[in-house]
Amino acid sequence: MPKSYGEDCPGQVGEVNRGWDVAKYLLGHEREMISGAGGGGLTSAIGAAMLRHAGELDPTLRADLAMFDVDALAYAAMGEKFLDEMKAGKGHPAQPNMMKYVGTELNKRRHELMMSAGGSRSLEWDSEDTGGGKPSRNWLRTKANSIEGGTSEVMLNVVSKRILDLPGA
Amino acid sequence: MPLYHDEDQAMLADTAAQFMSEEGAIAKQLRHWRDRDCKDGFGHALWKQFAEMGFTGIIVDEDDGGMGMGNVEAGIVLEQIGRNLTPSPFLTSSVLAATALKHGSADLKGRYLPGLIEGDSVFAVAIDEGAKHRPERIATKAEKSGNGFKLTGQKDFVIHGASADMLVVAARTSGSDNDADGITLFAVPKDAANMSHDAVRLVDSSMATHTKFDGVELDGDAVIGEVDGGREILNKVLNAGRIGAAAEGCGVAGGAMDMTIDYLKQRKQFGKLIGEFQALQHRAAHLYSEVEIARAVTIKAGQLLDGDSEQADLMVSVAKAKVAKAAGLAVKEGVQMHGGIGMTDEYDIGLYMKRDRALQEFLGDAYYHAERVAQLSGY
Repeated sequence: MPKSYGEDCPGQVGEVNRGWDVAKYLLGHEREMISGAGGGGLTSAIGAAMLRHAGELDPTLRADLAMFDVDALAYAAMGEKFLDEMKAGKGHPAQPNMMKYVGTELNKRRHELMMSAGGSRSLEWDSEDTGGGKPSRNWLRTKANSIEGGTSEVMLNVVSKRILDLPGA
Repeated sequence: MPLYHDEDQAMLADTAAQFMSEEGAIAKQLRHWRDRDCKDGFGHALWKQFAEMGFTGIIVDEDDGGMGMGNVEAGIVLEQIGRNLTPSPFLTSSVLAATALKHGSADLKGRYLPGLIEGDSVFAVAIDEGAKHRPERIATKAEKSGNGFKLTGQKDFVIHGASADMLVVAARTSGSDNDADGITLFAVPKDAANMSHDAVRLVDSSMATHTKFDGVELDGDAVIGEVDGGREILNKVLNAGRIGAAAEGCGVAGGAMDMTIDYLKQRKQFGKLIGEFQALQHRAAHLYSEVEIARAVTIKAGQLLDGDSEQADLMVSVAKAKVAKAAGLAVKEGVQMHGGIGMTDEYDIGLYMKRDRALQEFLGDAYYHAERVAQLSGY
């Protein structure tokens, strides 16, 4: 939460008529939290876990997992850079939009790959084995990631206008 | 360590950016030498200027007359080289060969480092055998001969091979072709008898050689490090070169992207600036995201490498692969969004595509490094 609380009005957050600053800050947090589901340090790579899970991997699935791990580990570094810059007040204010876009798209891809590696077992909807259908329920849940908190398309609009300064409405 | 440049690094970045955009500019260097069919593919006067700037010995220890900096700092210079497509022997000499020479004898350092630091010498590194980067397999042989060795075999994609005053050559001194052990690095002087170069111009106008060693006699003191102990040094050389190439790739990506975004703000079509079209805006924003991430992981991997982290091998490969993908996207989107003029030689965007392709291949492409990420991760 922002540090400055209005002194006269206990319920007021930030300055009068500057509510959008606060709102954007909070939205930024929501976006980071959602995209944070796609980050999470070195554990964000999934290839090794999928091999343990599946016993063996089709070569093309393994290749897709490797490319995914490259993207996931690189995104984890981006997450670290993003936080470092935010703490130092260096980052672009619209950067959370970029993080949200990439993080949520990455998370959807992660769960698609996990479903593929899991095979028919990950289709089970309420078995004890799958903790009540966790793989499939989690997979479906990720589809909302790029919708809630601003769709991927809205994120791309913001990046193109605020960061790249491209023309138009 | 935060993932942005500290004050000294930011100053170096400013200095390198200004120098490269003026002295290393595309018209002044790349096009100039290319249009003259330059046999070296770069200008020696510029290399002297690199020395005056303190760039040539950037990672050489201070005790040896260098700047004593790390791969992050070399990467800062390389990003500007990439941005301006500046042809120079910096990556091969000041990063790859200089990393190898860190492990050399005092005699080897004394023989080669002063020339490098002064910008008088150019070094090449001969690793690849065949058209793809497969340093796990080394068949070039160095057999004991008198007090020294006799070198036999062929190396490919030796950048600046014919211009080099010295070549760092990875050869097999024992075991069979696919063994990890039994590798030795040699510093081979340019006038070595029975060494021949078949020089070829590459798509980016840089020069490489297929270099043949037909019984090249070497003194024992040409050995860098220990006999049969070259693999560990080679891995360090490769890591430094790969993160260097990744940093240069970030510059290529950034340069191509900025040029393209500028164009979207100028070019009118159907009565509108083309940058107003959402079809292009979303692609530009996606590209921006990929390039930002590529930059972040390149700094991260550089820091891990400089800190001797156990994760450096993995993250260097992540960075090399990620940059290859991001820069590849930047140049492809760049040419497409420039439209027809993107295909012409008058516009620089095509030059970025050419350089990117050569840089992707150098020391392993995205496929090689994604495979390595899988292996290092245990699958």
